[in-house]
Amino acid sequence: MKRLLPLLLVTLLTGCAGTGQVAYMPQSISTDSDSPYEHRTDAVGTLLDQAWNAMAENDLNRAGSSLSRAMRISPTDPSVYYLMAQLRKKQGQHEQARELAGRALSLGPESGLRRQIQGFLGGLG
Amino acid sequence: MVTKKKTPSRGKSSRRKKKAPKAGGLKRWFLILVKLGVCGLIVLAAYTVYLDAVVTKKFEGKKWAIPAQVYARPLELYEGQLLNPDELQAQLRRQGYQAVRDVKRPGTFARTGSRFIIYSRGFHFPDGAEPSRYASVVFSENEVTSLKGKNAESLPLLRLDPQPVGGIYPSTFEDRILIRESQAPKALTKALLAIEDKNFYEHWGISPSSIARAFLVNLRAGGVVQGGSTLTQQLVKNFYLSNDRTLSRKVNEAIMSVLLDFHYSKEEILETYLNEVYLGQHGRRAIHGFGLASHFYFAQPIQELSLARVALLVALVKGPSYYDPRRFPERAKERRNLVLDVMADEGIVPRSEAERSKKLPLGVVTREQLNTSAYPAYIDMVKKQLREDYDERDLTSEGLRIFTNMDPIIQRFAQKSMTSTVGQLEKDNPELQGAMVVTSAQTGDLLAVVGDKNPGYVGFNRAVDARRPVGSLLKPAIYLTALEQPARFSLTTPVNDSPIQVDDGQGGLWEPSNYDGKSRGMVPLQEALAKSYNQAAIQTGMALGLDNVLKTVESLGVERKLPHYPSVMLGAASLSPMDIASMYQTIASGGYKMPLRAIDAVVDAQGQPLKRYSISVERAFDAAPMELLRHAMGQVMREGTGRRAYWSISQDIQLAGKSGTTNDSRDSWFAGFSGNLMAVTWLGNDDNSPTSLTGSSGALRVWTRFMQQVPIKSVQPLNSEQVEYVWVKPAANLRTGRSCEGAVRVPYIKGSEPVEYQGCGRTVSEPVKTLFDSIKSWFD
Repeated sequence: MKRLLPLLLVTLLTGCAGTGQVAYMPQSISTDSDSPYEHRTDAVGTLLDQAWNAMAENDLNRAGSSLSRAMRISPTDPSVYYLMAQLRKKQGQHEQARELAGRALSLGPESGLRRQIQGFLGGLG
Repeated sequence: MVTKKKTPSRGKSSRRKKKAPKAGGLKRWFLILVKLGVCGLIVLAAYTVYLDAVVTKKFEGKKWAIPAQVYARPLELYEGQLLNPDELQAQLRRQGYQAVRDVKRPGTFARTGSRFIIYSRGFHFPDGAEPSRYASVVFSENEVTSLKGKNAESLPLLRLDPQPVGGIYPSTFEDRILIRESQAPKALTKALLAIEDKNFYEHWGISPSSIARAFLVNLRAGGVVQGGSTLTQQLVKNFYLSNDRTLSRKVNEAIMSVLLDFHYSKEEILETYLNEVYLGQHGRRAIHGFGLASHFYFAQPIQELSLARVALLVALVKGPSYYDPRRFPERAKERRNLVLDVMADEGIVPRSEAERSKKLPLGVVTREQLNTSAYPAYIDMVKKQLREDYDERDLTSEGLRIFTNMDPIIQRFAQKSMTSTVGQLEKDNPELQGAMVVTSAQTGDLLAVVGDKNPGYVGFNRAVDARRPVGSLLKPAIYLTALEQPARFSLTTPVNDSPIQVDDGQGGLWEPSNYDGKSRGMVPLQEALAKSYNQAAIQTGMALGLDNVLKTVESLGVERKLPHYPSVMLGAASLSPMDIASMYQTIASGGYKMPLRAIDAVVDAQGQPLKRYSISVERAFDAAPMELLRHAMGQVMREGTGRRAYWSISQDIQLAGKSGTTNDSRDSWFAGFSGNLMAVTWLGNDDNSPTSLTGSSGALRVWTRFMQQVPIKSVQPLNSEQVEYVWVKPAANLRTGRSCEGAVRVPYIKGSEPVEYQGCGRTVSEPVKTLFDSIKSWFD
């Protein structure tokens, strides 16, 4: 609560609510399950969902486009950078995957997502 | 051919006068005549075969060189988006969206107060097709609060079609947007044929009867409304032949028209004509085809044109410069109405509709509204990046589509801020010029480039090509180098603002002074940056080592090699606004270096993606020292040389930046960022003569005017476990209680914070935890 209170206050004051910072963090990505963003109806959530599904269908270019759009709308959302890191890993760009995951961590993800990103970074070796 | 036949007969008659021919001679002459005739036919046939090859080769090959088309970033609407509704309306108008009462077709919208109904156009983006959508958008002040679809279902996103902002033209400057015959409104082709070639579907390419008919029609209309050439002949003339009016050209035209008609269907010929015809001029750029003309005159795709607008385009075929609707609106209207009359006469449209259309204004967008090539500095950047990956030939002929990161609204505000501020400062600085670069603070997307105080100026692009001394803009690199050594430096470490002599790199000594000529002695590091003290900066820089500072400058993203003199640290080196933007981008994005990206994607004429220019990030600095530097740059805005920004921007918004002024105020710089936008502004004279402006009184004004007009967010502190905030008295570099006078909260890299404690009085004591401090620490 001590940490949440100022966050709530800032959100209320700046009126930036609704740009997609929904406090739901997906479990790990696997292609045989449904998109963890499926129920999201906000702009960024919808684009993350599109990107996730495109990755599941191996349409990596389209996934990249959706993530770029999401990044434009919410350029400080760690989950966007994290999904892009996963995309880069899929494309074999491990160095970019590492950098993007690091960027995601630097943007102050909530603890569940932070642990996932740390796990992802550990998996990159 | 005609002359060949005549020559022998003339010879024959001249001989007849001399003596009567014998019977055998007559036969001989007849035979010669036949032979010549046969020869003539063979030559004619051979020539026809040759022309046939010419006709088919060009018609079946690539007909035109299609310039690359450059698009701005599409406007995306979503709930929570910060956007001024008036700006949305202005942008819709710039893209040719028609304000209507009842929204029924793509490319139209309606607005009632803060509520919009928009029927977007479908568009093929690099990531696939975006369908046309009906959406209702509700604003509350400057925020989109509701976005719904046709049946009031919630719509997460509405992506509009992107605004075309320029092209990359071949040396002929011919420009066109290809359309299919089926895409042209039916009224357009019918009107075109009624006016230009009534017999098109019946004749064989040429039509002697149409010459006669044209004569009659013209007589009846009391003016020239119909030419004698068929549409096929007009196409042949423009497509294959020169413009000279010789008989041989006429003959070629006739033969080729017949051949064209023989080989190809009427639809193919008509489609080629629709794309070939010359319909206007825009500077050096020649407007060809109805597809481009529709954008050029109405900023609308051709499918959306109203009857009156269709009629105007058909009217222009006769003489695009004589009937230029922008220069001669009366003349154009008269001809348009004549076309409408013909359409009614021919039964193409009901008389009543033609009459109604005749009363409408021309509806032509102004050149300012047109906007293509209104952003030459940005397009210049795009071309520079494209030329690294593509041949000039491909860029000017393959019909590539270039999707850029230009934000048309940001670009317009950037240019307006520059133009109006320079306008105000011109009284004292008549030759003043300026440049500006705006990026997305977190991603490095290049959003706007201003290369001149005048909008639309094509020429010297100062944002990229003007390299000027940067003054104090490199000081953040000095202090960042210092803050990376927490054992030696923190934000409150006293640095020495006193005279110093250093090697000037030319065998002499150089003694920098402060702007006001005073030295302050020992001052806290963050104050030295905020107030931009030169002596403190050079003392600190020399203590750190020039090499180390220059390495930091490079790591921040300045790729240009800088000379190895101490004076470089105070900005003796010359850099462009774009170079500075690269450097400040790394600070704005929290220590991540990323290339500034003007281009998002390139697709070929068939819509297949060729290349994507995705974001790439590289951590260049740890979050902790970077956070300290950003805090100090925040102090620049709160208490230092940037404070006038808060005269017009809310104190609630956290900003960060740095001003720069060079000797005799020759250059006025400001570079800084909010949470979402980074901007660099420069003002100065092209001949490098002095101005009356410092960074604060000049460039900062442009920067502030821009930031106050666009939606901005606060700079957020970076997330680092290494950083902790401590209440201190900065001047004494001592901890203190938060309620003591002069106490401020300053970030430190853990372990580098002051240890000694000074209470609200003047006595210094060992750090003791009071009850108050314990309570306070819960909230820290």
